[in-house]
Amino acid sequence: MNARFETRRRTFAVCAALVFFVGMTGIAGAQSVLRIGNATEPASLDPQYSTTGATQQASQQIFETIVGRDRNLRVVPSLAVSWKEIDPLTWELKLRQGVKFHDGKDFGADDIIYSIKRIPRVPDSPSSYKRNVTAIKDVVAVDSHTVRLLLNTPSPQLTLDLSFIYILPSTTPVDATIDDFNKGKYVIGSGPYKFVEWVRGDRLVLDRNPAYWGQKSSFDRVIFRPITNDPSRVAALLAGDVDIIDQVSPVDQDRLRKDSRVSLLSKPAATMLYIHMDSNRDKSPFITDKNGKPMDKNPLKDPRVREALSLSINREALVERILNGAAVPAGQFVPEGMVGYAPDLLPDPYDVERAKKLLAEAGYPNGFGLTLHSPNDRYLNDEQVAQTIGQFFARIGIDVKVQALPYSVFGTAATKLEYSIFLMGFGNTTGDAARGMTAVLATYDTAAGLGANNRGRYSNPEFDAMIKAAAVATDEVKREEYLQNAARIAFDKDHAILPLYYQTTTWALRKGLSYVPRMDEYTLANYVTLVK
Amino acid sequence: MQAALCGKEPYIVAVFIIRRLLQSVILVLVMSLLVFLGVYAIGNPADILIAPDATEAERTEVIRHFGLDQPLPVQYGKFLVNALKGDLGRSFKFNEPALRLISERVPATLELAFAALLITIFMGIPLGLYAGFKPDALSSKIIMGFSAFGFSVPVFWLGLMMVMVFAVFLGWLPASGRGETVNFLGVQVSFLTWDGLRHMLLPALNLSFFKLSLIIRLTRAGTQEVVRSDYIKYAKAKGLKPARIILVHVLKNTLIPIITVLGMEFGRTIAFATITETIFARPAMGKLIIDSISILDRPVIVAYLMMIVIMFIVINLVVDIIYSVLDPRVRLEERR
Repeated sequence: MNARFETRRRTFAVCAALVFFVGMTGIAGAQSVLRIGNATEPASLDPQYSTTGATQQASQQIFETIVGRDRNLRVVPSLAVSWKEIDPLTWELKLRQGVKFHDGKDFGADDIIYSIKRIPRVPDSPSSYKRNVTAIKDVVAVDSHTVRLLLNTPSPQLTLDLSFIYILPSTTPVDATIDDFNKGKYVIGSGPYKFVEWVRGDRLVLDRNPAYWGQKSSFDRVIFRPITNDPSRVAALLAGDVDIIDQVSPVDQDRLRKDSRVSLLSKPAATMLYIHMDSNRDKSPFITDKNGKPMDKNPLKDPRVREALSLSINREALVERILNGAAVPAGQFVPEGMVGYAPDLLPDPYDVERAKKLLAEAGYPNGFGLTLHSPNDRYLNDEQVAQTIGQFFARIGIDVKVQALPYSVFGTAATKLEYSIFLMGFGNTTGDAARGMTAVLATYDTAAGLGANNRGRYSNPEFDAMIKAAAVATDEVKREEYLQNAARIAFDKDHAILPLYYQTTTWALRKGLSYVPRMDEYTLANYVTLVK
Repeated sequence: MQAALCGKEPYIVAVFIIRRLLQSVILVLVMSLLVFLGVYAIGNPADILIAPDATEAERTEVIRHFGLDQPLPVQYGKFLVNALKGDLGRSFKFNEPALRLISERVPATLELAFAALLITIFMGIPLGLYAGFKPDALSSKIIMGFSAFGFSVPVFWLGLMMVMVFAVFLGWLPASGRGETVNFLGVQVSFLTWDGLRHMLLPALNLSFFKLSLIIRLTRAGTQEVVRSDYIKYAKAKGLKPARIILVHVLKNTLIPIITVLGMEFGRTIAFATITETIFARPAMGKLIIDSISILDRPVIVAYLMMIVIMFIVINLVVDIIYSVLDPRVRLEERR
């Protein structure tokens, strides 16, 4: 079975088309090949090197984590089949039987111990996995398929951390360098695919692991090809060079929807876009009165002003017109399906009258002036979104200037608190609201590791208390309640930030293939199936 | 070389080359300093590279590890010392030596650039010569129209159009990628395989379009001027075969400006063929530099730009030497 397109037109050079096909399949024979065109490529094949989605996407095919995540990012068993808390500082994991690594080694407790201990030693990673193991003081084997984790502090959310720990065989040499991994040495996991070849920038080739315990691949071979340019990726799909592409841009979606050779699949992704405001300082750099002069009082400190700004935004129109429907309006940090989502917190309605009234109540009947900053190369249509938001603000009497910059400049400046109000995004890769709300809305406290992304310096002790309670709660139900309450305080009461929308992520597949989309945007090749 | 020089010329050539090399060293140093300062002025690599929800302790650790907490002169000093040992630093993002990341991609870029150069030379010069000889013929007008098109069309659009027509619509050629590669003198090259050549055709054409148009026009202008000159009339009067007139007398005299442009364009192609490389998803140097700039991966940016400077210097040197071969009136010592 060969997974490829039929070309639509052949010319007199039928032989050229034949050469085309032979070139595409490479090896003549019965091997079935799936070719995936990705928008990103991994930084390294060492699964413990970088937490970025682009690298994890590759790690997920070859390696496995202690616990897994389903497509809504909820925790499910993987290499650990069950887990229980023996006491707040001790957890016991029971491991899966009969699992083998790609080189034939049997999986067992020694591999868990080795892998956990290896993470802090992986050098030089800009996005390291260290934070996922800081809670673990030691790991001991009870028997070949049972381990105990001894913790430094109680960690009710330990399973979340365990879902980021990729397991390597304990026979991996301690001095294996990142260069070794990138050349393919020691790239031995227990996952659905075995490593064959990696040519950086060109292709990652994997073969099916016939001994895999889980969802078996429908294809003998999978080739991941990084094609970062959006139109090129679409062209590759239409030309038959690849069978699936990810991150289809809204513009291309319209075109592909009409093409009968292709089917589209979408899912709200983890990235939430919002407006972040300086709600802390009395004098804010980019807030002025209507004459352009700096003011003594910062209107963004008043929750009524923030609510007015939120009510002035027509989220439905924004999503439909600017993003071509490739997003879902947001009223809180995480979308439906994630832990911490409060069903009563809907996106703010579009209500210009009420917005103007609130502004007047707060003492700004004629509005004021502001500059809205935004990145222009980081999120889908980010600059256009910022321009549109600016227009919405203008309708309630605000004088708006919009400044869009490359993220390399914008990010640094925003972190240094050089802006007053700006567009920003956050990726909820953990599948629940805790990490996002802690990073963006908790009171800024570097020692405690809170509020690392709180660039508006919002601070509400009630909110902080809820977040703290959620962090130590052992009961899942209570924990979700705390998170929902925190969300109600931050969004309904304070309008601390203005959630705009959740980006949806879209895949395009050639007809004959199917895939169940995931919130973490990974394309797991062993879940790609053939349909009649 | 021997035809243009004799006697103590080799000595002059040696002095010339040494002087050039010294100038180059200074150039390279200045370039590295500029890049260092430039990257520093744009932003802090730490903010881009470090995961947004990293704890403060993690951030400090990463910053310290990359040496970003040192004052700038110290960072630059360390860089120079390492550079003398041949170590241009490790990429912040990939943690691999910057030089290695670049040299991995050099074969892919070089083969594409050379392919574009060959297309330009073997299509551009003959077409330009023809248009110069017969400026009023319809075919010449078509050639000139085509070259105007080549100037005005953005590379990006042209590349995508080529992909849509030849890959999607007709299905003749692949839409992207590099294809099969084989090992040749220790590097992976794709021009020795049929599959590789098929993958190279569209991007090479795309890359050569602008240069082609340029060279056609230049050649035509040069040809028209030379054809009118006395020595050509004399050659015709002498009864020399037209082929000899064209190839030996006309061509040699029009080539100097063409060589200059080709040299400059070749350098530019290697350094900045990013658009073509991105559209055709070829793993090559241009893409690396753009990505590195976006994430402020300073070691890669510095290493890359220094290499480019050295490359341009070498190209200029080669061009100057070719001048002296072509035109005996040019003497190397006249270059300052």
